[in-house]
Amino acid sequence: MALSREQIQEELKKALGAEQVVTDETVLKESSLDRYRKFEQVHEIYTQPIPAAVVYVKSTEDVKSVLTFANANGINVVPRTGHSAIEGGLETAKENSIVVDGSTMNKVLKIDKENMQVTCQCGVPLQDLDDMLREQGYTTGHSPQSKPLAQMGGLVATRSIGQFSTLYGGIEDMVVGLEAVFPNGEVCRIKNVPRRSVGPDIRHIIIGNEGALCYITEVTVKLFKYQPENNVFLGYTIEDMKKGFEALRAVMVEGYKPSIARLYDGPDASQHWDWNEDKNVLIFMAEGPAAVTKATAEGIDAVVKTFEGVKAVDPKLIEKWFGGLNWGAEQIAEEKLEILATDNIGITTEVSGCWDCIYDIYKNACDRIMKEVPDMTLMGGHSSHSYMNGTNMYFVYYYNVVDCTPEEEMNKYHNQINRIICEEVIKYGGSIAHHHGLGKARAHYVWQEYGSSFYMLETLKKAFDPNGIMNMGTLIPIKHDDKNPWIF
Amino acid sequence: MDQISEEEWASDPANRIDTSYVKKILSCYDESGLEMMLKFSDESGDFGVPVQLDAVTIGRKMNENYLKTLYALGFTEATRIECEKEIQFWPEWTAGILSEFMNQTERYDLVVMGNRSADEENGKVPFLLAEELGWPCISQVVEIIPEDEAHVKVRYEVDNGYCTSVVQLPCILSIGDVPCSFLRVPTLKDRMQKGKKEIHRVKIEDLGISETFEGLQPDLSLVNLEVIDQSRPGVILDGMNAEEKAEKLYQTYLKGRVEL
Amino acid sequence: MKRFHVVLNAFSDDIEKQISEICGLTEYLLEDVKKGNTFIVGDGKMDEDDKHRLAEMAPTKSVIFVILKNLHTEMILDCLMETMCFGDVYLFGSSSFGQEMAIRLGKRSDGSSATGCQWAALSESIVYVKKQVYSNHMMATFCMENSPFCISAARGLEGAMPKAGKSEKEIKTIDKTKDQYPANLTNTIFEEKKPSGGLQTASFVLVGGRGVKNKAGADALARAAEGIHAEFGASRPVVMNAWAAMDKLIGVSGSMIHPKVCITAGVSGAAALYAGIEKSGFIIAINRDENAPIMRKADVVIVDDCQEVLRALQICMEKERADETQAD
Repeated sequence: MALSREQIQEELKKALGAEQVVTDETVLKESSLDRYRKFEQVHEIYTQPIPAAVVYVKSTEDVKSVLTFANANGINVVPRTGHSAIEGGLETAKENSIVVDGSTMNKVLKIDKENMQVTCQCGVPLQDLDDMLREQGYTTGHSPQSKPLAQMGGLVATRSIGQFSTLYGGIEDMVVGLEAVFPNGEVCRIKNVPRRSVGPDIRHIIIGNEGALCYITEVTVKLFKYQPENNVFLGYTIEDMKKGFEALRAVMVEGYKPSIARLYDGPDASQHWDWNEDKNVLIFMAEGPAAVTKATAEGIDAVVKTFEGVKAVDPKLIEKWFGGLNWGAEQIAEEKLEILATDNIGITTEVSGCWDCIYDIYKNACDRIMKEVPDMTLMGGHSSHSYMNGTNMYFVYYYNVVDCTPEEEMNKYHNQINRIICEEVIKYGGSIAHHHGLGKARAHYVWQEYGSSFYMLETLKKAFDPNGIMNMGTLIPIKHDDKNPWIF
Repeated sequence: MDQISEEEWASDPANRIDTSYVKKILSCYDESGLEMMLKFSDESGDFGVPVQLDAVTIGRKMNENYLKTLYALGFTEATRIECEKEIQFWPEWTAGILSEFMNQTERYDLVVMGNRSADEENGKVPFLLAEELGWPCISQVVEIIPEDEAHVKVRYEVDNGYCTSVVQLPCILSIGDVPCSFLRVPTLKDRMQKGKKEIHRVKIEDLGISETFEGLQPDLSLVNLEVIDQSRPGVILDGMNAEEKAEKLYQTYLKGRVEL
Repeated sequence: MKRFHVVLNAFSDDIEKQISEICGLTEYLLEDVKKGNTFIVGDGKMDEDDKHRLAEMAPTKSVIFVILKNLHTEMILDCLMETMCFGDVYLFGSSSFGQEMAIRLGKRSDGSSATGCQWAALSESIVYVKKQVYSNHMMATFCMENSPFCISAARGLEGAMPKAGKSEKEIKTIDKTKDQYPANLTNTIFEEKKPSGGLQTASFVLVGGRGVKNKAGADALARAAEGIHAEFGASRPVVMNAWAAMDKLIGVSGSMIHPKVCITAGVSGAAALYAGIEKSGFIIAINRDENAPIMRKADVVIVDDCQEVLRALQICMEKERADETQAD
């Protein structure tokens, strides 16, 4: 027989002590969702099952004891650190879930300057870590927009990526070793080495598991020298978006390694600048030793200028914009007020595709959304992470919520837009999630995303989480309506 | 009716801050004022008072982006008084040009404008314009309510509270701190349908203002500009024990700063 | 020779604040200021005692009361224009009244005006003012071009009040109650600003962070806040642990506050929290960990147990309060 809500709370208190178990109604409600349901959240409407408890774990032992308990009793567990998720990964999709919050595990365990790596507990805020490292002349090289909120465990669990990824890579390129706890209480540590050839790289079972396989308690990431004084910036407007993608490709294919390589379309660019006069914008930043940045910048400049419709802009415009780029702490506060006042809401969806289809994905998705979804006030996007074989597309869209309740907003707008984007990406063979994680909404496209390799994902899930207690609904949906995958 | 955006003037080589790389945004006062006008216009139908909303800005071509937005939101006429030069710390100039524009058009009975720009922090333009036109000006306005053909009802902040008065037109309203007032956002469809309307452009010379801006000299001339140090020193308060530190804290830093 | 006049608004009950602001503005000028007039505008309800009391506070020897039916700027402007001499300097408080008067008087008299000033001074008969510009990031110094010079003070400016002079004040009264008033404003209804209370408007806030350790620690801190007469706020970890109610939350998902003084207790200084307190006038951080990021973002830091320090502070302030009551 399943334990009652009260029994769950009691047992958790027995295991961890009452102080670490929170059952306050407001906290539980706030813990039933993440920013995927932003519109519901600002209206303080909670449509998801309210968890039984939020527990604050202080050690790997704590995590082990909660997971073992949940596993024995078939209770859903939602791992959480910084609470900045935006794809529904933190929604408590099942009744009486336990939210396991690791933000109290916030110690930086070792800064190893000799081996250029830093080890920290899952709850270390990235901002604190990187600020501290920068003071000593180092950086993690990881700078996602969620930096002021996000913590190391969550960043690794969602396969996060930062602004400078084109040089430093995504979090998967930074993580050297980890510690994670599995539902049966098994604690696994993967040691920190430069490389290995000892079978499959099992780090990747943990990185990006989105809390659906295990709980990350400790991570070790690489260190880089922090030398911002050598940064060089480049900026251009470019008439044609398609040519813009070609220019990005050329820079990558020619072998340059800028830390930032971005292409904004007109509507998205106009949110940041007004000098572009509605045109698309290309920006680059070269980072590293002075000799390298100089050569990189010159090389990129020469490559980009060969494209038609390119006009260079004063690099100072980019540099100053970048220097003043606010990481969003104030904006998050302002955003809530603005949504409540105007019923206008902005959301993003990030996907990826190879060079041969990324423009089609971008173009078709934008066109279809404008045609099929009502009340759109802005539709655009940018590419911000490029690779040898392709790039990402970060769709940015705003709409007015008209004639519907906060509960209805999701199916009328947000899910519809997501559906169109996913359909277009699948059609062209891209990936439906580039760096926010699959979460719970886009999980409804997991079969199309994985194709025949879904077998491997499913087998992993069954093997590591046979009782189905780890963040159910994330990666693989609990319920799925084939005819209307987007109504939930 | 007329909205005048006292936009954020920027950049000049000598002794000015270079803000040219910053995207120009509407000041919160302008934004509040515009939303108030739209709300006023929405409500005025119920009062049987027809209202036409016009917008005027002085400045660079880039400002036209905002005028397009206003067209999409239902403004009738939008005008840009052309000025590619950046003018700063010279509210007399702005007020003088606006007053000439008003005199030439002669069709307005209510002017709504943001009370100040974030750069200059002057709050002078609305009052200077009022003096030029010989109109009354109500400042710190937080709400405009339709009344009848010749009057509007206005709520405005005063030192120790709020006043609501019936105001005879013509009049200038200078917008103050309105809590949580954001300009609504037009849909892309409205932008396509209404936002493409032609923006009127007026040259300063056409307003009869001489190139030397005779009679429009600034009241203040900038002689120095220095950065205000915003950093906090983080002075460590030492003491033998908590009591000693608390005592020091109170005597050195809290006394006089907080009420007992 | 320049005369300095002070214009005070007795329709508002904060005359002392207006004087303090003007004194703050003109610290260097007080001697000169004394030579001019203080205009006090008010209504017929002021009796002789009121007038005497107000006149005593005035920074000049000569005090002119302008009695009006209501606070009508046109009437006051007329009155000031009538007595104006070339070279005169007029000083106003920071309120919207002061600002409006400075601008209109400057314009109407073909003089110049400056608003929101931190400082005004005279050098070789040129008037200089300083004021904050660019969203308070820069301090600008201006020289004022034309006489008369009309200057209003910046908000929150504080200067030493003039000592009550030994010499008798010269008091004059101009009665404008019988004059014809332009009737552009009618049916005025006044509502007093209700003190909204709470974190948004508090001038003294104590913010508890994760360092309070538990519910008991948060409760103790909330009591300490009461004891030192501060409003209590909390960081996200504190409310998400249900150690304090959600409406106490400071930071990007809660209240963005701007008190005169903010004490943080056991707060590490995460970006999301700091954004909520950075507009505070003065920040005091108490934390056991001297390397916590907050320690580099505060004006004053105490490395110690926050509960102990606050308990001691509470006792210290209670004692001070008792002494003060006794002194009264």
